[in-house]
Amino acid sequence: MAQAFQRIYTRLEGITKATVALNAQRVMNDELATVDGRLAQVVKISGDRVTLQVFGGTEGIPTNSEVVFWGEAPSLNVGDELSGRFFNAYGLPIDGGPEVAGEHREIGGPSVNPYKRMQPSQLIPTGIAGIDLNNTLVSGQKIPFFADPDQPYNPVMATVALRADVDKIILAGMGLTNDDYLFFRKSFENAGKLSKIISFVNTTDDPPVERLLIPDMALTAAEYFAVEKNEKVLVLLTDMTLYADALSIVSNRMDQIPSKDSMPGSLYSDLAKIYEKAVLLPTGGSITIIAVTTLSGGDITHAIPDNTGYITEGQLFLRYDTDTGKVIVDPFRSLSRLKQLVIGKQTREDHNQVMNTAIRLYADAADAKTKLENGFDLSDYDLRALDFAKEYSLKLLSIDVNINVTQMLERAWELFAKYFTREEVSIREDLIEKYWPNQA
Amino acid sequence: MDRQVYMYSKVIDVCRMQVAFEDFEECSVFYKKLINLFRQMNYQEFHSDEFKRYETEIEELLSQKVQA
Repeated sequence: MAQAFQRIYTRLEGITKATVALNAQRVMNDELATVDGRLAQVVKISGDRVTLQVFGGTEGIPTNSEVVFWGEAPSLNVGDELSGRFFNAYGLPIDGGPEVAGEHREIGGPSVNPYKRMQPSQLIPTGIAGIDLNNTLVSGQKIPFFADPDQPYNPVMATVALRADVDKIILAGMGLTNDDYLFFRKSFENAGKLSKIISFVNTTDDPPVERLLIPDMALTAAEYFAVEKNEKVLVLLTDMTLYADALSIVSNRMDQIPSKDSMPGSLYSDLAKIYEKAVLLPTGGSITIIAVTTLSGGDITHAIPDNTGYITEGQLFLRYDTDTGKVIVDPFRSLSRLKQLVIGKQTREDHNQVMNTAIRLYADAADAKTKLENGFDLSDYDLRALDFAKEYSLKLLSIDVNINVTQMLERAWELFAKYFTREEVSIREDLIEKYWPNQA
Repeated sequence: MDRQVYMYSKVIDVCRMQVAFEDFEECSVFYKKLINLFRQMNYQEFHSDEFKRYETEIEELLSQKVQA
């Protein structure tokens, strides 16, 4: 830490639950400090009046506490030695290993100039058909999972991370339970891929406000590998709802006027500052961001998913399918806005038509289900559509499916031929001639 | 735009036609066939030979069912 520039004050003039205020000079925004030995960060400067956010809370801090300004904002030592390591919100090791002696970098820098970015164009295969077939991911994309808190979004994230063809995976865990933390750690270790994974973790045992540093720590490491090493980096942010909750705690305790759903008025900018770090660089390096936003009772109108949806390039919606007992990537509510950049270009020619047809037929099944629930007679087509939907859900939408895109397409064709006629499928005739399965 | 107007007027013509069916299944099969032909026509280049072929097939299909 920068001992040479430390300045010390001993008179606090205002203390709230999360912040202290004092008069101090030559202080900079985001500068770190200790207040009565507890780590704090400058969050507001008005003339000489400086407000510090104390990460561990202010309980028991007297007004004559010693405040030591460090002369620097939060930073991370970056280098190849980050690989395979676990760190806390301050970038300090939590795995018992030595501190990283790399290049010292301030976190939270600006995102890449949009003019200097390339248009994303590389497919990231995950093996999950609900993603690869219907909502294909592209390197340099930013996309969240929307899921209810009881859904297995962390295992899905771990699966995506372990299957994705990338050089580095950076996990930013915010408010992880110890079980989740150990799950990620064991999954990465057991897969033998720990060497390409870097984790920044804030657990539920840590002060919630500390988790505000986690995304910037993870993205600073991601920028190092993408920009300096031209590597493909996948950043996993889980759970952004808990990150936003920490933002609201700080905002409310600083007496800022809350906006929708008690969130700070700056929520959009706070989230965009993180998601806009996703980039494909002309040199080949890239940062792809996959996040988790947990929903309250599936409410996507809440300020957090609502603002997230305006920033990110689509969303992947996890849903429990009561017909099959599987968690699926809901084809109706999920969307990858960049999928058209790779579908049919880096995948087989029939990908687009197969994807759209399968979802249309799945929608027909949803209509049939509504008819059934309302006591209407079902036609032969309705019955076949319902059977198709069940098998489509089991064999393709379920998150435990692990096959490549070509196998997904073959499986979809098999289902089309099993339940429908060529006319009902309505795919372009030349593709039908080429791919319709020969049934004995 | 020309293509959209052309296709739209075709669909309107179909909507205005008087057709009769024995039962729902017959109706369902007929319209699924018709919809498929319209889709196949849409996949083709405007006024191409293939486009015209599907247009002819649509007319033939309609002529079997349309009441005078």
